Amino acid sequence: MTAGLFHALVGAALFGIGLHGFVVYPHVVRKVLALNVLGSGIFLIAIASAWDPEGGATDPVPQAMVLTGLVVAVSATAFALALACRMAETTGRTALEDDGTA
Amino acid sequence: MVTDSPNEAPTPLPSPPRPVPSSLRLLSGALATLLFVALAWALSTMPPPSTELAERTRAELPHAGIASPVNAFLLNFRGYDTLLEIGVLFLALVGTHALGRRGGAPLRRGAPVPLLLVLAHWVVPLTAIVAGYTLWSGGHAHGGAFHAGALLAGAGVLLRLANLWPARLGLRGPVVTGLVVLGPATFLAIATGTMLAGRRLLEYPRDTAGGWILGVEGAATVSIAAILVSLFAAAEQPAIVREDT
Repeated sequence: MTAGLFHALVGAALFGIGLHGFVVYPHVVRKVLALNVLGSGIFLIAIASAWDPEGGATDPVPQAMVLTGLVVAVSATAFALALACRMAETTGRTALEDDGTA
Repeated sequence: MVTDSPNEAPTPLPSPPRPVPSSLRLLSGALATLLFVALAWALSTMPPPSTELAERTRAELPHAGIASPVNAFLLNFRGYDTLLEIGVLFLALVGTHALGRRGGAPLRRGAPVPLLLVLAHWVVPLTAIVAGYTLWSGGHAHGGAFHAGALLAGAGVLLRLANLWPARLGLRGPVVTGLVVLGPATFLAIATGTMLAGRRLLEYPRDTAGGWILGVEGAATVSIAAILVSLFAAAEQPAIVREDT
């Protein structure tokens, strides 16, 4: 197993863990965290694809794309957390539950 | 009704949500495992990725103005992406403010946690130096605007936590707003400037590309740091203080 494949497999595992967490935990902050774990898995897979065992040099294109993605993920997380705070303040709830009144 | 003022009695914590039934947990776990297996299979049988873009990046690198291929790609070949990326950061901050969470509320009175004070006094100046170096090293090695901006933002958050953020500066005042706008404005000005000069969007002159890129990156660093600190402030609780006051 090459180093690139190992990192890609760890990325796939993170993707699965994040997806499971996103489905299973109803608290919105946990959902945001789960999405971040999921996204980290995708970034790891993309970075692993930049590794070229023969050429020696790594491909700068996926690295640049992941760098862009990280920044977008951070700002989206901040916005999601602000939304969650606002939801808790206005409704007193921490989950997107269907309680029959909505 | 919740107010921004930290001096009022805290509102009761929202009730925790109902847990998901265990049958759904099992199903989700099984599906996630299945997905992992499928992904692992796909990844291990994937053909080697195309290196065409990498080769073109490497071939054009001498004309990029900077020697680091990642930053040459981000700021010269695909400068458009980076411009939009700063736009995304800016939009996230605008969206957060639109939710009525501007942060920067006056802090509770009281002494900050001593550990944070010591940490801030040691770490913040060091971080400023490292961020400057990181920005500079983006020209020839790893580093660049986003790394440096993230470092500076970390220092800013530490200052805020330690209650050392300058009160005169504030978090809603014109200074921070100016810093937030500086990066996108500089980027846009240079992008339209190259078009007015008869070139394409963000097509720098070849012999002075390095200088233009460093200028864009410097402005972007400051703005990234300001936006990230503002985003943190928008969701923050008042500073960590001892309750013995």
